[in-house]
Amino acid sequence: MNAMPVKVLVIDDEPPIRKLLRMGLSTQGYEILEAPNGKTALELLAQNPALIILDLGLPDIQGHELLRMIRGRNDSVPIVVLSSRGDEAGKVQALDLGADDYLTKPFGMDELLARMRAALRHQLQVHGERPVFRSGDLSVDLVRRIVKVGEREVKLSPKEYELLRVLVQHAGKVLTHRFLLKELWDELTDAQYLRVYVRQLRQKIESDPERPLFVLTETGIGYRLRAAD
Amino acid sequence: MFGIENVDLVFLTAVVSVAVRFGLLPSLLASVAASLCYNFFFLPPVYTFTITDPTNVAAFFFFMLIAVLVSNVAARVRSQAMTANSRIRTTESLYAFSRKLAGTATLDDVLWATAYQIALMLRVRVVLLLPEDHVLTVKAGYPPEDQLDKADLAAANWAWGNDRTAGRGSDTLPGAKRLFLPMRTGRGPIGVIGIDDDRTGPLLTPDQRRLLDALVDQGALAIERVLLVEDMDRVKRTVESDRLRAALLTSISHDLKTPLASVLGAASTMRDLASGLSETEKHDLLATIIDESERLNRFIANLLDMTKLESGAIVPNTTRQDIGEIVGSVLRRASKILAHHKISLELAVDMPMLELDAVLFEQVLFNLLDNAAKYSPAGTTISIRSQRDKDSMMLQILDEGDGIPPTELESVFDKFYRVQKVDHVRPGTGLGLAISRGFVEAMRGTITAANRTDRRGAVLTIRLPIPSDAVAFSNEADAAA
Repeated sequence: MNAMPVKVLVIDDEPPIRKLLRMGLSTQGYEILEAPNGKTALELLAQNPALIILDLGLPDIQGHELLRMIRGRNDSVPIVVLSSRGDEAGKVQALDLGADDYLTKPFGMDELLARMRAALRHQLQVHGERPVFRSGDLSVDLVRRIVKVGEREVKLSPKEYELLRVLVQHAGKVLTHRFLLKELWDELTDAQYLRVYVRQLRQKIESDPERPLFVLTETGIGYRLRAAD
Repeated sequence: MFGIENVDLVFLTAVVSVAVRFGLLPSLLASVAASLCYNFFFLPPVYTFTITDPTNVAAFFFFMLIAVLVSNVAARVRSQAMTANSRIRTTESLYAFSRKLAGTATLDDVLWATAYQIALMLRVRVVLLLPEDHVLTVKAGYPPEDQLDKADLAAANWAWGNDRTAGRGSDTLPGAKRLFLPMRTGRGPIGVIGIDDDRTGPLLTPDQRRLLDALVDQGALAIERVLLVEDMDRVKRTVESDRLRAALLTSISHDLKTPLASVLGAASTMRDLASGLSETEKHDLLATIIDESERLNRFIANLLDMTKLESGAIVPNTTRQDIGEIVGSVLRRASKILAHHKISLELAVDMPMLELDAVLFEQVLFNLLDNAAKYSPAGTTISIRSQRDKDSMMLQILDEGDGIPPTELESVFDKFYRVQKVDHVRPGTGLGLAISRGFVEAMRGTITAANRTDRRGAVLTIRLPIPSDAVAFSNEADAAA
């Protein structure tokens, strides 16, 4: 990070968690804005943070409500929500409300940093899409529509390619079943179709489709493509 | 043919039959009539009521005496037979009633049967009152009744409080509409019964009163039995939950404290003794903190799952799922705990999509893999196999550990169960398999434990129904867009 440090707004009511994030994130050159509650968070929004980490369990404002309010004022800032285990419905709801990603508490710092990087990178990509996506052996040329694993070119059906393209455009980010269905068919389509295509896509691009490295399942939520290198 | 001497026997026969058929009074009348007829028609001079021969006078009086005596005896026999008959009927009814009560398990049914039987046998209206939180409350009635007026309630409460009869026709509160009797057993009073009818005058004859007592006694016994069973159930549940609580406490103190002790120990060592530690040692301590925290996290997750299962809060959100995909995702999630084992995947190629809750099913597989890793030595192979078996899908996790003692193949699914080793208890909550069974059954599947036949080791088998409209999608299938 150069002269202008990236500002991260951390919204969490637990002081130890805020302290931990402050320490961890500042070593990576982030500048931290701390909000122990929703009210302070909305005030700090004025300082234009580049990314928001939001704990869904806040004392004053319901997490999803705050998320809606933040999105109402700023529809582009990446938001990573922190949620508890077993609350898949809550996570899906947060993602559908415009959160970019989620992390289940407790989490490791490495996971958080990876999620933040993916969310920030995605935001940059929206403005200037890179023509060739690379992640490990996988390369996807979005201009020439060429998909390669290593040196081998992979033939995909149009629908499989569409699925991969959507995943590549949001690489590193979790995409809900509903989002993918909406992008590829329509919302009313049964998620079963999606599973069939994911399976076929894996057969073609994964070296071991049963233990995928690229198209990762987020059980109960959706799919995530491994982030670009 | 009869001689004159035998004619009296014919009359006596008639008297006896009248006595047996119609009882004492008609038979006495018959005796008098027979004597007069005997005199009139057979004793000379015939066709008069006069008797001239002194022997015949004696014969006439003897005849009369014998007729009266015989009719008395015969009438008594008749009345005894009738009483016996009616007793038999009553006894039969009581017996049938007690059998009916014995076959009745719930309090409501017992109360209803009692009220109905009493109403039927005594032709009265019946209400039954039992104390509920120390307040006497109407619990049943025939015909159904759920409220009493003030006077009746007062009489009922008096009968309950004094363990004596009160209300209509009794000494206490005779103004009440009903007569209330306490119902008691050897252990004390259990309730009050109230009866009334539309007739005026005494409600019950002494016989009916005795019958009522018998019925009330039986009803009271049956009510007591049901209440005792309920009490016993409650006690059993308490004992069960006490046992569980004890196991939970043991488990918590062991499974929460062990990792906590490691974390605390490692962290304080880092803080207080950092200067004397090599880089490798510091790294080890940090790894301990992370590993043990993760273990703690898994344990708490298990406790939460168990609590949710117990409270019935698990409602599977089932959709068509690809088992292979869930297996792939759980292997990624469990990669750390499986780091020291080889994994062999043998999944059927034409697996149909199944109705599953992906999150629950992934947790089931995670628990089974965690278990397999825990109970089999490092370096051995854990296999995951799937196979179609008629209209169900079989998924098996096989390990190469010591297996499960044959007597414990079922109890491994008990809460807080752990396969005991002579020297130590394995780390773990003893909840994993119990949760797995709960989750699988919530998804209409079954899970069983067995030992491998091909070698040493345990095999856990999950069976899930294949939906009738399931499409088996092979690897090459191209679904319709």
